[in-house]
Amino acid sequence: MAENNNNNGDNMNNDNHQQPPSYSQLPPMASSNPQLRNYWIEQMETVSDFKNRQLPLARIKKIMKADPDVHMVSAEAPIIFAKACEMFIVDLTMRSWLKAEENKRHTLQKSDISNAVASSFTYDFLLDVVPKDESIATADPGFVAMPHPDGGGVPQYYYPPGVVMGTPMVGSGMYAPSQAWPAAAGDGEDDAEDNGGNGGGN
Amino acid sequence: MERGAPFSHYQLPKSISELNLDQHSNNPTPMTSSVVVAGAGDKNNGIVVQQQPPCVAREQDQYMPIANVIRIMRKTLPSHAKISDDAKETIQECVSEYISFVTGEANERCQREQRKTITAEDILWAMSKLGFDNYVDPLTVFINRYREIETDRGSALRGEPPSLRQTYGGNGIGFHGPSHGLPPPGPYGYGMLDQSMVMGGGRYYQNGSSGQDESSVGGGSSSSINGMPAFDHYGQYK
Repeated sequence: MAENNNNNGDNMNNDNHQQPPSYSQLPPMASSNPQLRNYWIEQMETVSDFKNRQLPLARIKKIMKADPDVHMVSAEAPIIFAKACEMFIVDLTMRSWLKAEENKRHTLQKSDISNAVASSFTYDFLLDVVPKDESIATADPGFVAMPHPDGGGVPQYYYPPGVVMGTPMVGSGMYAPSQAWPAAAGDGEDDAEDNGGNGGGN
Repeated sequence: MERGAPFSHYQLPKSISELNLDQHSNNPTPMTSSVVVAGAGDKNNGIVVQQQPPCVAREQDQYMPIANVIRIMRKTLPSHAKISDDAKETIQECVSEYISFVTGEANERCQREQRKTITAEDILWAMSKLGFDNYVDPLTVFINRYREIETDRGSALRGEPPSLRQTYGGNGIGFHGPSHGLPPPGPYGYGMLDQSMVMGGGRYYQNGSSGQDESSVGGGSSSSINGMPAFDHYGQYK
């Protein structure tokens, strides 16, 4: 509880000032959240950690080449994406966690991610992947609160909203380009060889 | 009945009829069994090959490994936090969407500039354009340090260019000096010059054309021949 109070105090102070203290480069959303600000400070200190590579490069390259228009990818692009995706996961997870804390929950849920995506323009490209659950969420307590009209002792159960509208479209969209993957894989191999040759020349 | 009687009298017709029966009974059985077996085999093989691998490959390849994603999420959240399964899958999908989103923007820049290879600079440019400005500075530091490490590895590979340079230097010495470059060039060079002058002089007096031919062969010879025409010029003046 003391920690919560401290956090609330910090948030209030930051909101009152409404100015980033010493890092003007940070976006307004990040400056209003001390955890995000601390994260970006730490990032400047830990970007040299190469050995602790969290995400596989081959998988990143395959996702990049899923687009038929993408022809060749330099060797450094997946490496820089590996770090960028790690930063992306941390950023989105932290913003989502702040939403969970606002509702005083300790379990991160999909609705928290949906709310975090909706509250930042930078994440507009994710609106197709994470549809807004606000309508369902608002309807849910209504259904729970309403008493059964018959009242004859017959129990009726309401199922949680498990339907994800965005998933089928994403799936269909992803499958079409994936048919071109064998050719892309071949191109990938050639590209790797070319990059190796260039490195040798340099 | 009369026809029946001749058949019964002759023994050969009986054997012939038996052979015919055997052939008829043997012929259809293997054909039928072979057709059935072949068909069944083809169908089974086709079903197995066509269905399973592509689905598994696609599902695995279009997303980042969920274990890696969860590890990064847990590193971000406090220890008492829990993550629902649908939240894990949602972040997993968001990462793939992020890669495709930035890659698409970077590729458009490449196509405008008529380039075919997406570079790290294109990725950084796309991020700054798409609102991920705060990613660019840490990633710039990251990639520069990565290149420093690669350069250090490259210096190990550069052990070969120095050896090539040594070889090139050796060739240069051989090219500039006489074929016997190993001895000290000064005194040995003088000796060679003396010998070449003597030989050149002799050849010149004997055959001018042969002297010219030899000039194409050796540098020393050419230098001596060059000297002799000058001497001739002086003679003409005198």
